[in-house]
Amino acid sequence: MKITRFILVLGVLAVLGGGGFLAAKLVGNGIGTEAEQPGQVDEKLIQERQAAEREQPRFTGELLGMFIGPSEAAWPEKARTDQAQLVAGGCVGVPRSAAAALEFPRPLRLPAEYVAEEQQSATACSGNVTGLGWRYTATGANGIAANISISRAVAKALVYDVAADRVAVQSLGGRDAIFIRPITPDGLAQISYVVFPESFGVTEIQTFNLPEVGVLAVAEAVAEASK
Amino acid sequence: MLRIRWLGLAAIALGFLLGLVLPLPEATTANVGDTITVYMEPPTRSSGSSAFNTCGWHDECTESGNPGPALDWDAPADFGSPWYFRSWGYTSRSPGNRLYGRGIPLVTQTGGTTCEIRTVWIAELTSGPLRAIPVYTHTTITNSTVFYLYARVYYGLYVSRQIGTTVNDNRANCTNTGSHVHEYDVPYGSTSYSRNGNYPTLDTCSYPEVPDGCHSYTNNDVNNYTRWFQWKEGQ
Repeated sequence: MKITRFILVLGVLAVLGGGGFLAAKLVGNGIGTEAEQPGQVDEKLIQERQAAEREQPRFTGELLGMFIGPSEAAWPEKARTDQAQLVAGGCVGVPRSAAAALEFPRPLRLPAEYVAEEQQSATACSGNVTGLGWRYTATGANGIAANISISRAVAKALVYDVAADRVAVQSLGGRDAIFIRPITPDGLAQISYVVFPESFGVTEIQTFNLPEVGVLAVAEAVAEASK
Repeated sequence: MLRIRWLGLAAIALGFLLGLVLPLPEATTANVGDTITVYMEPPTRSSGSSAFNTCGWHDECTESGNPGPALDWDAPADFGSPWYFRSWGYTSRSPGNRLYGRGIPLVTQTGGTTCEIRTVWIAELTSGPLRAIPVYTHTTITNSTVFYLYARVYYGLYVSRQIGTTVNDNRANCTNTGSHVHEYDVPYGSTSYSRNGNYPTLDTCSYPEVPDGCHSYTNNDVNNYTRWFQWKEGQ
């Protein structure tokens, strides 16, 4: 009987001690905060932010002569027809020299922390040169690699499935632009876009895992090169 | 009775103090310093079958393309074919058969004028740092649920998980010659990596221009790994 009581008391003490241990962890580790250590990945935080964004009304409409919607089905009929005709004959890589008309009129100079990757071919769809691109990498949100894609292409309508409250028209680097900011300023595991309308179509910046301040720095450089 | 009450209060206080001082016991605390090696496998066709490699090591699979970190894998039928995250996980020492990480499917490029790109971030399980970045172009995600990755000594543990499907992303600034996955990796942090030299080069396999050097590879055979990532746990 004594042994039984002893074990019972030990059990109760263990439960109480364990409770105290966990309580201290909750206090000490600040569970529920959104702080991230460099390189650490909190997938719950990432997914909660993205899920919350998807709950918001989507942007559909025309800004600065560019049509943006969450799918091609949301585009005006003419934009859908133009897109279908553009790719009807298939798209192939062609030498960049064939796309001289799509080159930036001024040198593209991104800040030193953005590292240029191998330049890929230009693109021709249905026999016509339609796009030229540049790719960069940088250290992005949380010390994790960020990707930057810059594209000058024949397009007047774009599929961006984004919350309407992320979309704004503003002046960037002295040019009017459509800015689709990251979901949160840190940009962690998020995509952001900047669109400069052009006479031939569009200069488009797409970033992944790049903080908002970085997106704006890239946009300034691209605006300067495209004036 | 009074003595038991005091003992209870003391236990709570002691537990609280220990909680402040000691680290939270985590699944792999004992494994700090273990070497984890992840062998990536061809991402197309059902597990155990033959995936067809349509372009050897390349950056861009065109006549003017350059050698690079990517392999192209034919996805049968049409666009909409499934693609998979596949890997073998190895630990350097016992106990084996354990979790070592998480796979986090993410959209890295979508819409606009360029290609559709997805990644699966491989992050360590407990302390949570990102360890590797395999990337998959011309794809969409149909299952973005985070999944767990397992490892074992000697024989490894295999994971095959459908993440999404291939997509026709022919656009003003994207070329896609048919349903396939362009699979590569982004070197990251202190993680070592290596790409399997047994696969052909761009000179000998750039389908359909030079199909002779292109071959099928059993997609769950660890010898047919496309690339491996390696790091020391908790460091």
